[in-house]
Amino acid sequence: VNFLSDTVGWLTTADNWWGTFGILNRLIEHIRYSVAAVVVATVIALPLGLWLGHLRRFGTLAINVANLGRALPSFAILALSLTIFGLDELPFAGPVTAFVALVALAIPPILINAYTGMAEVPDGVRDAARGMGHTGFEQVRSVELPNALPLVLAGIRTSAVQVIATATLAALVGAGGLGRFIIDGMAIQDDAQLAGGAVLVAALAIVTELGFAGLQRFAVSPGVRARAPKGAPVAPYPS
Amino acid sequence: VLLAVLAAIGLVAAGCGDSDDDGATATTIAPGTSAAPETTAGGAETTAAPETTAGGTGTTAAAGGETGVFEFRPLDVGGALTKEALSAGDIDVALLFTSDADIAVNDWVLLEDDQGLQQIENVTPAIRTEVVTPEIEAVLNAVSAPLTTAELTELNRQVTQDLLEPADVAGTWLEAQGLVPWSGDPVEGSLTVGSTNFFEQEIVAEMYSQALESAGASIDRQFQLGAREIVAPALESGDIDLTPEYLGSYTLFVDGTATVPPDPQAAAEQLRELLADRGVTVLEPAPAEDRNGLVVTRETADQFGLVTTTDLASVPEVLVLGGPPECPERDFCMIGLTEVYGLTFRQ
Repeated sequence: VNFLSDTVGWLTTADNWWGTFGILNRLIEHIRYSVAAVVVATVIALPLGLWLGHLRRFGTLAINVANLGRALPSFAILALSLTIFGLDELPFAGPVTAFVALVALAIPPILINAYTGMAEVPDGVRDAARGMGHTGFEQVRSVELPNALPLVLAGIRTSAVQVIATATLAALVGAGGLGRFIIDGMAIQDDAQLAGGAVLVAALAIVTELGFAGLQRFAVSPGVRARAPKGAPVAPYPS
Repeated sequence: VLLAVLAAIGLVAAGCGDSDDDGATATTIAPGTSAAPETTAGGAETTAAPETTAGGTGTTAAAGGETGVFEFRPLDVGGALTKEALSAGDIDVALLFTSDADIAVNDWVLLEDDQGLQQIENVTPAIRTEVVTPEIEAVLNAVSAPLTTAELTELNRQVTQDLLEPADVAGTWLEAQGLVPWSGDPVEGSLTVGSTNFFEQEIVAEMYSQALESAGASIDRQFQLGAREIVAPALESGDIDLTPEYLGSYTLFVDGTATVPPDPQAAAEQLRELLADRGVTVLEPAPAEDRNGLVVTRETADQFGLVTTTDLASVPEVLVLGGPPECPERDFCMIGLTEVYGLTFRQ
């Protein structure tokens, strides 16, 4: 009980929120590191996943290669890249080492979901699109992508949540982010700070999760959603 | 439906635009930008700090002619990360252990602790009162007497750089000192020797073990047990009988409010009193010490004429100190450097 109230006390002390070492600044750093990693991973993985999914080829290969990012612990990637990049920092994305580890972590869910989403668009739907005279690109844009969108977004969402939880690694190489509170709390045996940092990371992950859930509701066509309104067509047609 | 598709494509496009920029920056900045001032500044501590760029060493001119201004970068406890950061120029000053062989290997400069901030840390055998005999004491004191910091550092180097076994390093040293084979009174019975989890401890524990074996004792080795939090209680409970300790740190471990006298004999005497009701005592301290110390590269030392820790206070540029994350809360680090040496740490 003491421990809990200490943690709440730490989180609710105004002084802990301001300044370079304050929660607010650490939160912004954490978001910066995470956004950079997810955006770069999206740029790498999304077009590739969508394209391979459209072709329905090389899926096993791409997925297995991407899964290497999952199989290698982020901590190992961090340690390995430390020997190459040292403590160099990027202007927005934080330490290069953590950035590399986070991008490697973020790619697999995005790539796999994009591939699967595109590859599993029902044959009938693709045939219908072709039958209506769509070219390959039109077919992707107006038929396959809308159908794949729930899975595609779910991939980015999974990846974002994982990255936020793992961006604490940046603190291990002397950078900022919410991991700072966990590492420093451990070093000075300040359990309230340690737990407070962990709570903040979890809260940020949950908010991100909810944000993506909202985006999914907004962006996904009602015809593709599981809870399609009555009478809506099973697959979307360009209207 | 069209709206949704457009939104999705827009999202992807926006994502592409954004991070193409990021990607480009990453590839141009990433390799080999050793410690440009912006890279330090972009980091943990200094987002709010006004930065003026100065080339080379990752230093920046302090505003308004101030000297002795520092930034702190939390790294590890005198370990690989801190040393890597120092050699790469990401930090200018590192808090390391003074017997760390990498200091000499890299031709780094250990700044003299001229105002006596760091407590003494002589290597000292800690042994259970129940098992200690005059013969054992004679052997261990004979091992401690010739063990200097320079010798210890060299032995550390043989293990970390030449990759020799701690047991071989210790054995060769004992023979060179004429301690093995043992020519004094023989030791009877058996002892369990323990150590914490770093090489220096294992080397010294091997010295104790091999010297005692040469004197006739039978030794059970329990090395690499973990931190002092594990080894010290094991000694008190009798799980181990003997372990190498460090005067200052062990004193503060036993009594956090104690002051460690600067004289090893006095410090050992005080520690014996503190340990009396725990069934443990310490023997004669060796001259060898393993303190906390501030280390800079040869270039930094030459650039600012650094020999002592006091010299840091007159450096006209902002330097970056790398050390363990607990540094801001510790007397041997940020607190002492501020109060004893008058350095300023930027918030």
